[in-house]
Amino acid sequence: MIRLSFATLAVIWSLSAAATAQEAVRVEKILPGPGGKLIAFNEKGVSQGDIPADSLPPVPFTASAYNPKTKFVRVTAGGKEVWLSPMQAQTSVKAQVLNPCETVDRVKGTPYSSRGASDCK
Amino acid sequence: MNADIAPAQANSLWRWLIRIAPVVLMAILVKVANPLGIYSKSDQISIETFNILASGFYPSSAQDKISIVMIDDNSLTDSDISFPPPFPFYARLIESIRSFGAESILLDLMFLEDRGNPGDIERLVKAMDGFPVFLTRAETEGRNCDVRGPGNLAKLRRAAVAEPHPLIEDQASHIKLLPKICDTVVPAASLAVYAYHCAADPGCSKGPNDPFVNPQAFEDEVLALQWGRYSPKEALDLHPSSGRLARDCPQPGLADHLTTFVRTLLRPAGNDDVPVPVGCSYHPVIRAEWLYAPGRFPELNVSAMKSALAGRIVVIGADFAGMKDVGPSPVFGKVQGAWIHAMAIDNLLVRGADFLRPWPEGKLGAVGFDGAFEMVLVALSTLLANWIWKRMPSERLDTAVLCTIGFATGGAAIGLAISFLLVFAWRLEPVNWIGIACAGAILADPAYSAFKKIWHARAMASQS
Repeated sequence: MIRLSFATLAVIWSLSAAATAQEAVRVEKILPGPGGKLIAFNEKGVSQGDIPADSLPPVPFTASAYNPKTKFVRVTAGGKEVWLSPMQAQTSVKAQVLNPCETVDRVKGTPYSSRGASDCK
Repeated sequence: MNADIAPAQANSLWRWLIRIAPVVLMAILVKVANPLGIYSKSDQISIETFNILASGFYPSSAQDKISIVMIDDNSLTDSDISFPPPFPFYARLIESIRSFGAESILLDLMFLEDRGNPGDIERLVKAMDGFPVFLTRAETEGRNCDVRGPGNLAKLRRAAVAEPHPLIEDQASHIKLLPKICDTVVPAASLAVYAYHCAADPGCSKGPNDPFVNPQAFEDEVLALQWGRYSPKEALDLHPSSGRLARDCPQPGLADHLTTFVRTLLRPAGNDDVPVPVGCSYHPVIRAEWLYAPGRFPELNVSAMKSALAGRIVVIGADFAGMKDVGPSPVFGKVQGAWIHAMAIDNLLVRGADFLRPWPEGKLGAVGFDGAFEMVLVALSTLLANWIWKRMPSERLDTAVLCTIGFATGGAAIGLAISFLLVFAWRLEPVNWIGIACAGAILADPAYSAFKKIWHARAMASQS
């Protein structure tokens, strides 16, 4: 019985760990300013100056932390941990993309978008 | 003595509150119930009319920093290519724009499927390489975020410096600058391009207007679009065809302000004429075929085209017969999406983080701050009109009707002035100044009291 309980706990733990792993935020794109510079922030969102964009790993890579309130991500740049703002680090947890026919609906709905497709039935 | 004054003042305040209560209740009823669409219609007309009148006063400081390149069916015909344009067509456009020394390019296009010959896409990727090209992403909000679709082509996604969102809401009048779309924060196309420009500008970089350094100023914010009205000088010189159109466009000056004022306020119902002739634009519009096949256009002024592209943010948009990309604008009527993005970029370049915002929502229940402000204005305009009416020497019906019209006109003028103050001093959207004035004039009840007197007099006469 005790073995079964431990086994059940282990399964639950592994499942929750897997779920947590899926929720890890990936950095999909970096938007550097002119000259390939990024603005680094501390955990309080205060600017800490420039860092070169090439000090980051190649995209996509997993961020070491994500602040859901500020939407900043923590990354390692040149061996140092810094926070990047959503203006410069594009993250993707669940990206949703439209096909050409779905874009037609966007013209009809409240959000104005501008595209349509004549061959959608 | 003071003890006698205090109850008298309290009594007077109480009477004033009782008198104003029906006005406030009526204003709430009209705002919330919106009977026959009176409120929303007058709100829409108020903002539209304001935007037309204010477009003549829009600062032109960023007009020479943006250009538009338009692709349409004529572009394909004149370039001897068929729909959809192949990737080398776009590649040549980008190469040409780069060769003229543009600062950055916003592609307001969606590349959802591969096309043309194998290897064509590599040509476009190469043209984009090493240059700040922004590609609007094929995503939207409010859908099942777990579903993945085709998206922009992976090679182009990698080649683009960023994939901002292209959404423009509320009849092409508002843009969410840094919204959360399916758990991902995505900057608007205008914000991403502006941020890149700001980072390269010593006067903007590292300051409060820099979205890279101060993203908090743009997060969860909505930009309310403002439009300018006067065409750029380059439009006259680019090509004889654009010059012919530009010559009929309005020119800055008192005469234009007066003409626009009269035309806008006195336009008859159902007249949807826009205040400028067709073909006018706020930013220079360069036709794609001029860049793709310049040899076919001997009258093209290359030096004017260079000055319209060098050092500028270039927005490339497309509008084909089967794939319309248009939206309404208060000044130019129906315009292409690229024009709207260009105007949003212009707003950010002119105002920085101090751009025009809508009123904060939902803080006072269903009414909101703008509704509360409008109610205060209705109450004040009613009291003022009522005070004037009580001092009129005559309470005849014709005087009462004239007074009601006068109060509505005067109230509208004051409401319009308040709207200008809100926009230019506090960067808040205009209020429903037409509704305020009409409600105030009606609630002040000169016409009603005159009718009442006439009926009373008739009743007395019939009894005697």
